[in-house]
Amino acid sequence: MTRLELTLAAAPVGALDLAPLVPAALAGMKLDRVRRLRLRHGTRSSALGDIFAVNGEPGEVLALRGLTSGCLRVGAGLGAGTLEISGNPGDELGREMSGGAILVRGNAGDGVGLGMHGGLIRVQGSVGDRVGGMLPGATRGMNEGTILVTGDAGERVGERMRRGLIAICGDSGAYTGDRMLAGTIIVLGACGPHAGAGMRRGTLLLAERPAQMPATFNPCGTFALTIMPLLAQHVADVDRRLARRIADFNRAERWCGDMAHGGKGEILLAATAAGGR
Amino acid sequence: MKINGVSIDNTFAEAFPMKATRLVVTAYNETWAEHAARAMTGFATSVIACGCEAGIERRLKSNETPDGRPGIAVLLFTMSKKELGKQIQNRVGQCVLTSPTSACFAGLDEGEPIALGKNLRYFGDGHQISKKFGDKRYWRVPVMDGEFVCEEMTRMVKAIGGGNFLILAHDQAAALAAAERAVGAMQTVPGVIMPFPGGVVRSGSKVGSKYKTLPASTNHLFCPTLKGAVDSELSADVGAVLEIVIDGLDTASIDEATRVGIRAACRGRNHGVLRISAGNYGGSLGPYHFKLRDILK
Repeated sequence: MTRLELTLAAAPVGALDLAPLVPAALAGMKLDRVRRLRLRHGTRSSALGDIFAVNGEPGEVLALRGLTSGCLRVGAGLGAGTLEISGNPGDELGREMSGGAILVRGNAGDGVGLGMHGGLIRVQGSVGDRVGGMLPGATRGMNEGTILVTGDAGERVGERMRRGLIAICGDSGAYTGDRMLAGTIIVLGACGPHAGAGMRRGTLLLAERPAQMPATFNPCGTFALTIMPLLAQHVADVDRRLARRIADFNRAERWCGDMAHGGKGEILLAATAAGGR
Repeated sequence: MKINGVSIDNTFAEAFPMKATRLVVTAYNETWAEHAARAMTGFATSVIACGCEAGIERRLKSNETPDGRPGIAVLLFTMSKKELGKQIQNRVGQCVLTSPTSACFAGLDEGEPIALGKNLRYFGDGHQISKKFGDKRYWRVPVMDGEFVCEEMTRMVKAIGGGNFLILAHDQAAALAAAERAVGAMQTVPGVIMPFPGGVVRSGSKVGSKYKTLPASTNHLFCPTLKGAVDSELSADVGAVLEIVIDGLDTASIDEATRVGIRAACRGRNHGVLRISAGNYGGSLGPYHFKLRDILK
């Protein structure tokens, strides 16, 4: 498998737009041409070779090293191939991506997977607000795909999410699943206030009971739901450890809501065999 | 050709193209998975009057099923896609959905998509919930013991129905014992079912009848009580004949089932089995010919 490695040598002045850097766009290019590519930063543009040290050969894997929070829209529109990122990329990582995989060793900014409709984003760190949310002006958020965050997430995880899976292994902020249309959000840590506010359909699976359950959700009882092992099996394709955690949730306390918006969504408070939560 | 003293006729089983699917029925334990699967595959011996031919392919351990519970793999065979869709809907709707703790999943990954829970979901009366994981959509239908989970679509593949062989024995007891040995061995072969009761049929049929309304009638040439009345296929020492019909997902599966079935039928001492033959219509009706001697080489 061919691999191209770009290491950030000198962070330019202003936000650096890295949307053009996806494997398919660089495939087949000679390194000289790659170095001559123009990248916008702030109101100006510079040659890629002035910003990154370039090694390897363009192909299915593109590695971006040493990214900083000024690097925006990393992997935007990715349709195939793999982006391996080290550092702390900025906002809108994987915006509108439709396939392939983005693997981040570090933290990411706001808007991870905005308007995403396919593929996998895996962040081995924490992320900002509006993970899997909607693009400015859009009415729907993430429409397909999987986002895994091993750390914490900010506010409004899965805002107006339509389909797909978001798993936050740490804590999530306020308004998790805000106005969610469908899909699945898993939070293994603490979940902030107003979870599932305005939720129409979809599932919010929480390993920890929120300090206060939303007033517009009603309790339905505790059940062994057949859908849980199916979810665990699906997650196992991308993260076996997380899958085992979900598989341990052999019972769940079901709350239906948001009753002010049809009540077809649900918050599942996961319980383990030992009865603990 | 002889196997353990049993003569193998130089003939072939004539089989037909069918449409098939595999479904996986799971439940809280093996007992309830079996209840659901047996109900679902009941009255499914022949397409002549049952609409489909169905049977249990094999038991599945917890680690072999999508939801990690004990399950049973079931095969359904019909003559058309339309009929398969109808049979799936009726049988899963009336026999699996109704069975406590059950769930139902597609058992094939390849083939043409065909509805499984797609229409059954409406039993939820608007309270049903869709969950899509990857490229698979599941329906969660609220029922009185919790939720019935059913995959939205299964897969339909081209298959073969009507593979068979006949066990000709001294008497009923010998024929039945040989048939039981054969079916027991054949149940270990993946991709096949023996749709008749216990896997065995005693009323082998021929096409047509002297009565115009009947599409099939008794295979009189193999009826021992008619040996003196018709140009019988049976010698004087044959007192009973039993048939094993095999439906399979492909020719290789039917070949294998035929091979292990016949060998098991001929096994042992004083088995009372005299001949093994097969049912066909002269080769003009069905495109698949399973030649006994070739299979047993």
